[in-house]
Amino acid sequence: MNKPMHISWDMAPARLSARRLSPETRAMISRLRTALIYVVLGLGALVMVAPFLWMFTTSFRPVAEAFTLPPRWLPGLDSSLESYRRLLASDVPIGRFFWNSTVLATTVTLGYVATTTIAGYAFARLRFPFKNALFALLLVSLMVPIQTTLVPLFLLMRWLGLVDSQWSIIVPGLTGAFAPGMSGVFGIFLMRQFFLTLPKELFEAARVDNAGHFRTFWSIAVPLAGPQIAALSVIIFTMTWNDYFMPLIFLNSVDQMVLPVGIMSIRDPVGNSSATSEVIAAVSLSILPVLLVFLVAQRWIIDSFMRAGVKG
Amino acid sequence: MADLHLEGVTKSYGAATVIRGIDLRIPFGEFVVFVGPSGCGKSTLLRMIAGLEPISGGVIRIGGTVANLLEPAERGVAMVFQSYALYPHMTAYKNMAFGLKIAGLDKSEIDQRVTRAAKMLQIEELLHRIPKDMSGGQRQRVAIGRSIVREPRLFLFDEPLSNLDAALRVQTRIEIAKLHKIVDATMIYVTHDQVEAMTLADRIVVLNQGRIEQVGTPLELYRTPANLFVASFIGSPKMNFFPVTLEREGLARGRLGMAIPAPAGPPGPATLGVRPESLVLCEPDQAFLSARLQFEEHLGEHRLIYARTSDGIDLIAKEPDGPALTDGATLHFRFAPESAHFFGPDGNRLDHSTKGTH
Repeated sequence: MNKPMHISWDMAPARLSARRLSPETRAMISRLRTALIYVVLGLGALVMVAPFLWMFTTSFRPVAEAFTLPPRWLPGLDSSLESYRRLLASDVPIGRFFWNSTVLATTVTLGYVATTTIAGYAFARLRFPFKNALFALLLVSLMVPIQTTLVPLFLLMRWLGLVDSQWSIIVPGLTGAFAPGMSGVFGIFLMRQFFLTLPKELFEAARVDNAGHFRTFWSIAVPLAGPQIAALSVIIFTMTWNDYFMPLIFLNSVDQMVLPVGIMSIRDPVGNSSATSEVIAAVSLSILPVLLVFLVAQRWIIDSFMRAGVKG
Repeated sequence: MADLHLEGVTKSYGAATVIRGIDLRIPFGEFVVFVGPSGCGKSTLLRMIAGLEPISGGVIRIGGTVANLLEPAERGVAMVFQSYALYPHMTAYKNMAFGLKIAGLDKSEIDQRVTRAAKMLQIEELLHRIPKDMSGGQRQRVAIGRSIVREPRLFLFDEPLSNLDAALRVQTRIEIAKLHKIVDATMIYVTHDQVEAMTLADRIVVLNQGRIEQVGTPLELYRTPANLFVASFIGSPKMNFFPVTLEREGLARGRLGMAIPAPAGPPGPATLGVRPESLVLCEPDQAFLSARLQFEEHLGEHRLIYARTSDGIDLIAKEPDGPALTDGATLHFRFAPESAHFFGPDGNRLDHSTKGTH
């Protein structure tokens, strides 16, 4: 071979055009490629949706058929609300669980987002001693799993007299230090990275306008961080809603229980199949709010993570 | 009134000194332009006057009061940023009203000031748009509007036109000049564009490596540059320089043997500076200089002739435009002796008026 081979992205089109494809052929190739992409994405979506589909249809199926193999994906003629009826009729206070979960997830989200946004702003925009060292320390704490800090946290909560009340989860969440299933550092990091991407002049202009730190934070930084705050809220809400571990440890009495822990109490000790179908009904119900939140907010979540990825 | 007075102002970042002792007095109402190559410290100096950058040494006085530690708003300054720095989520109206609201002005006063500024800048129809929906020029006007409504004693402009296209730049430049006539305030304007500096300034401050090279009116800087740096920085195309030898009282000789009347100075090497517009094509017997044509640029009204002397010095001459010259032709130039500038070996100007002091 006399000529060196140049491998580049341009090669394929160059070869195609060398064969002088008609515009129609080229358009068809591009259509085919789009179609292929959709097929792959569709298959992926199917895999994602399948467990949910199975869960929802099973919750409507007669109790005895919960575990038919191969699994049935679509609701049949025999669908009924039997499982839901039995769930509501049982002595498990599912309504109470729902209320508890809602209060807990909402309060933790509000507190967590407020504190991490303020902290993120401080780390991005304020000057104070040991700022970088503190931030490094925070990042290091990401590596400490919550299980290892649980015992001291539990002792602290007991000392404060908060164990077996929602406050034992809300208070650590408010500080942004702990959130169920996730370190507070995540929120601080996300917000800090966002505030760092805002041009410095914006904050200088605010300073020339005589806006203090709090004014600048509230009137300039927060409105611009809308998508990030929304995304963070959705993530924290979902995580808190789904969290099993912290409520299991901190909330013991039935009237304090939240959905994930409460649902487990539906299972009778023997684990018979009729209770399983009630569990599935309860899980189906418990997923609806999260699903709703995601449907409404997915645009912001994707947008904010794309940005964090590109600019962070 | 509120004169601005800089005394020995310095700025260092760690070991790096970027501003090396600036002494400058700016009377109230003057339009001063800081000009210099990038990295000369002009923007830093402006930000130090604004109060956005703490100063490392010296004193900044505004109206006689030491302002070193005052916040920007306490100094009575308003700033127009290169990137405009409008608040992206606020309408033009809210952008302009933000500072007034913080200052605690009542609604009707805010409304009156914003409306007046909007009228002055012809942006009334933009007041309810957010920056994203405006063009660069419109954003720039809103940014200027935001500075006007605060009725500051001191306007600071940090390269405000550099993000605009050429036509808009000229237009906005004229509007800033008009603005200075209307408002009763000092204006300090930073640019690296010497045309902006020449056209806008009452006085120009030429900065280089954190030092003032020269302060003067545009014409003073153009006619009597204090040193080689200012001579080459002010004027476009830039001044031509030729090595000469000062032979005796009042005569300089170039390498080609030409003799030019020169200011008195110690005999020895010196630099002759001639602006492109002072070089005139002439017959060989009248010539101070001869050079071979490299190429020429026709600009209609005039042309720029790029030529090289036999000892390898490139020169530019600005002539009335005319028919193309022959490629590689030898051209002969003369210039009026009074249009020549002489600089000593230290780069400083040797002047007729400083006769005997050197």
